[in-house]
Amino acid sequence: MDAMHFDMEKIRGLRKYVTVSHSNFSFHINFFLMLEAINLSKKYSGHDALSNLKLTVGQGEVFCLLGANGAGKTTTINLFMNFIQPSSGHVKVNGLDASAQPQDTKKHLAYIPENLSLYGNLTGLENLQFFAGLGGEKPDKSSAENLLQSVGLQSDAVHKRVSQYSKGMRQKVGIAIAKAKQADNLLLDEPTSGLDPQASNDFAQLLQEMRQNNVAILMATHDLFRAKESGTHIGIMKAGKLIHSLDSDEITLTELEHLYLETMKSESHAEVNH
Amino acid sequence: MKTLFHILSFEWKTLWRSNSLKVLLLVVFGAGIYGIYFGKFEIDKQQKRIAKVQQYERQQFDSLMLWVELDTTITSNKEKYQQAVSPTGVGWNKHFTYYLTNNAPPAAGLCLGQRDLYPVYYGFNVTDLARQVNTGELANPMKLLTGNFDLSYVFVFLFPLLVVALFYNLYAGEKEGGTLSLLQSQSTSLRTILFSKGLLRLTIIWLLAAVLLLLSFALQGISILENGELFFQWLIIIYGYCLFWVVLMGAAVALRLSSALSAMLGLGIWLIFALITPALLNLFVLANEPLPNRAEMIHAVRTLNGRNWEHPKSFVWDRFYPENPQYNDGDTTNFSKWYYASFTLLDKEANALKAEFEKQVSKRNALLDQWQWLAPAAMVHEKLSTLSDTDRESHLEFVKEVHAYHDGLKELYYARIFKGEQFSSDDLQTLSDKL
Amino acid sequence: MRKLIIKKEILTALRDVRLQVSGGILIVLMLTAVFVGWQGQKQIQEQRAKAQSAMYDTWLNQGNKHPHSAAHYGQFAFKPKPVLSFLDVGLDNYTGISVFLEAHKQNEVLFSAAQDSNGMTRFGEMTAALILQVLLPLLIIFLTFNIFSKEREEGTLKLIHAQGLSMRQLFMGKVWGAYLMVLLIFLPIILLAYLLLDQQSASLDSAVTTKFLLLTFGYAIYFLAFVLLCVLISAFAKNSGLSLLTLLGLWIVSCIILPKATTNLADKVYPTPSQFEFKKTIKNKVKNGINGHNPSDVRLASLRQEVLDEYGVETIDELPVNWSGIAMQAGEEYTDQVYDAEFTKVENIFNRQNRLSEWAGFINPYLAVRNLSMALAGTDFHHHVAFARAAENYRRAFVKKMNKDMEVNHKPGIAYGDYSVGEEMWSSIKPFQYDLPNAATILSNQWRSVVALVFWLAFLFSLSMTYAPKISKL
Repeated sequence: MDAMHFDMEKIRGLRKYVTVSHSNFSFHINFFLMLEAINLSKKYSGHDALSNLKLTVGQGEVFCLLGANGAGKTTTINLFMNFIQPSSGHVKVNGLDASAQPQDTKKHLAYIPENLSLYGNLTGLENLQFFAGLGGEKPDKSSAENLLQSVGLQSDAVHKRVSQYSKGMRQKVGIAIAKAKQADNLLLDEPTSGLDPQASNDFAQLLQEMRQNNVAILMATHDLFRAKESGTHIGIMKAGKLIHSLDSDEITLTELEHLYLETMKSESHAEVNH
Repeated sequence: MKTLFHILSFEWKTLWRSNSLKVLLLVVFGAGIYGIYFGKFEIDKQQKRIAKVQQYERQQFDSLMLWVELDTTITSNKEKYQQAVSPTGVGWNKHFTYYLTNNAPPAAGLCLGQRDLYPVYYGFNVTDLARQVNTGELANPMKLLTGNFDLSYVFVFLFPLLVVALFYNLYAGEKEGGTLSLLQSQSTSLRTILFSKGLLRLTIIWLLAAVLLLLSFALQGISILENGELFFQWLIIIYGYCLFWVVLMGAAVALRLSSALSAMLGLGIWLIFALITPALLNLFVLANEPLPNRAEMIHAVRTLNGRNWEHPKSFVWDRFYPENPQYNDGDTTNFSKWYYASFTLLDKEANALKAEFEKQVSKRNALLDQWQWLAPAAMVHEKLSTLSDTDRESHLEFVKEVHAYHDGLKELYYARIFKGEQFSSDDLQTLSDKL
Repeated sequence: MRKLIIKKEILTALRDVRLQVSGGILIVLMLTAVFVGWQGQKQIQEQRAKAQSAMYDTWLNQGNKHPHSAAHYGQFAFKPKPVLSFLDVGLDNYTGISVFLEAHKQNEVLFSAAQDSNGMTRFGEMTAALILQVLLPLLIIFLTFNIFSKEREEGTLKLIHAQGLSMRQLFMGKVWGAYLMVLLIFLPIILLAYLLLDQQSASLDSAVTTKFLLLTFGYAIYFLAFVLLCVLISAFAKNSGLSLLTLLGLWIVSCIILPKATTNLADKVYPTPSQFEFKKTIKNKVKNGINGHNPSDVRLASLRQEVLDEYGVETIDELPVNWSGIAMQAGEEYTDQVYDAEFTKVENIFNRQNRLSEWAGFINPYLAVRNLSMALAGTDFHHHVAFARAAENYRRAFVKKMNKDMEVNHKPGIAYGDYSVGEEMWSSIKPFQYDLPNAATILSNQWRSVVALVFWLAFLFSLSMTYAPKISKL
């Protein structure tokens, strides 16, 4: 029973993978879109946090959302997580509507929040076991240890209380929790803020690993360098709108920086002229 | 179910490792132990007094038993002999006092209730009871005001605070600790998680209550085998009460307030139910519903007593003999008979008034009972007090017993007095057995 | 500069919805307690005054009888309800309200309200005192627990300090701001309570205004001390949460737990004797003499000899006066002596117990203000004893008069039933009049509580001034 993957034409911002599997002489064709935002809007009284967002993140893609504070990055993540409801439009995870089927969609989502906090009085291992157990199967001690090792947490830290961890160590536990879920999709909110260069690098490597495992990753970040380095797609947001969306290899880092600053400046000019 | 246990085991680890739970449990447990010892100390004090009183009564009666056997040919024995056999003589009535004591019921040490407001013994003789039961125990009113720090106090007042302390942070702790979003991103709903956390806390509280109750029975020497029903009644009431508070705090937590606000809200609820509503109820009833003027009873008795002495003896006979024909042998001049008959009249007068007063008091207290549900802490405390037989009703039962005992004594005395007879040593034995 | 801080504190407090709600609730409770309490107090006082005059009328109208019979007939004394008891009910529900005064017997002051109520009474009565001593401090806690810590957490503390304001100035500014808020709630209500007092109140207690002022002053000191404590803790707590928990913990321990524990401990240290022992001791000492060497028959015999010698006669029948009258009065006076000694012993034990909680005022300001408030309102133990003593003295006076009349006017040889007196004699006994102790007496009884309050204020103030500069701004 081979699953044959066809690479469809590259359509700007859209990738379709068609999985065909046959068993008992019947063919099933699934159109498998991973993360989808369809005309997604979120309005609060007074301002539009998000206006008509359209984006797709497919398997193995890393979509980096760049933008200033209040641009709508975190709002987007929160909408995918069903922490808030959209004012209009849809959020789809593996084809499921996030607001209609919140518990089911969460099964396919792993999430690492900005300012990841864990239970300080539990060890890294215990935190992993707890959260993973909530998500599905509680990993036993050895698989949990292996998982923590695989994300680069030193073995002597595994049994220490999280209150003694650095931010980078906590983030590793967060990634382990995400990995344990074995979800198809991963949402990250400012994952590298506050990390030292070593930890940041470790993080990038883990990201690549997950990407190679065909996880669809949506990442909100300030970090232009990381976005260019780890991302396959980059989106620049401003005032709730996705202004630019481009492939990472279409642009150099310097160009990206230039584009970003221009966007921030010019858009504000445009707004003022309104 | 599996999720429930999963959450419970990790939540337990987190709770136990933070010092706050340990401190809280220690403080409440310590208070409980203090309450148990205090209750025991108070009851022991009462029992010692009762023992002294009974011992004194027995001593006195023993000398009378001796004196009845004395050889009256010796002059110096004559007075003592008279004291032993004369039912009306100065010996019996001015120098011998009967005592009835109110032994502490088994659970009295757990809930002292109103026992400290009333005497646990009454001393009286066969004259009118009315003028002999108006007495109280020596007690510092300040101590009565501040109340008893017994186990029931710990359960009724401090356990709800424990509930507030354990629950105020149920949601806010996750939010302010930063773990909320990670929890919300899991496929177990937040509601399930919070419910499980709450369930664990309820279990801890229930466990602590059971431990304290078991310890109290053990330390106070109450046999669980003999008082099993009592034990379970206490347990159910306290469990229900804790559950009530947990539900209240659950509702407060559902408001998703910050930890400071949740704490203030929880404390506010505790204040309202444990402090403010009972105090308000008391204000409206105590300050404004009149209590009968019990001095009226004393006034009625003294007035009747004066009249008895001022009028000719027929005044008493006309009121006594019709209702007590068994004593009527036509004698209208004997002083002792007249004297004792008048006591019966005084008691009749007093008891009628007392019954009237008790009706008024019951009506007024019924008002308090009606609105008791507004003050669950007071309601539960009252229930525990009733279970332990330390409420006002129990004291009234004791007073009824005193009346019944007095009536019983009177029968024997009047039988002798109205026949002009003296006590035989058999009579004394009967009386001695009644003690 | 300080005015700015004070103004800002008051404005933020007034705009805080939670404070508006809890302050509002407190004011409603206070108004209820004051008005309903006032109604109740008036009603009860009326009842007792009526009962008192009705009983005196029965004394006047008892008809003609032998004076000694009148002494047996007796009188009643009803304890007046102190005017200010509507502010602080104190021990009133736990002490008796009337006492029967008759010859040969010292009766107890009987019939406390608590004995006729069910267990709910033990939960206290909603009075201004309860609110001011227990609930208003809680409001102060809610008002001030994060008064410093919030500024620190939000970073504004650094800014304020950078503007040149010293921590001391800031500290006192916050203290005064919070204190003014408290006075805003407290003063209008207490003024309203004062306006309720009228002519009748002044006639019942001439010192009522002085006591009222002292009470207000006492509470004002208590609140200031409490505000200082709260602001201090907020300034030095690690964060707002800890500040709140610490303050709440202190409040629970001081206002809820310690008061009980203190009286319990006092009773252990100075045990109360039993009524049984008390009565037995008196009986024994009367029978056998105070020192056990002067039994009653011996006393009687020597008295008889004395009287015979005084009048120079050989037998009682020759006396120009009534021997029974003399003997009975002598008996009364001896019993009174014994009773006084024993009762004073018991009173001393209770006083020592209560003194313990007065000294405890130095570690728990709530106890200090509670004891002072009760004393000024006229509902403490000293007031009860003062009434009991006054009633007993009245009893001794009228019994003595009756016995004297018997001694002098009931000539020997005349039968008991043939000598009688009437309304002229009865009305010569003036009705029972009891004046409440004055403010000076009260303060001298309660000096420990007064000193404790002042001590707390001074202590917290000096602590604040010393440590305020050390407040961390980070």
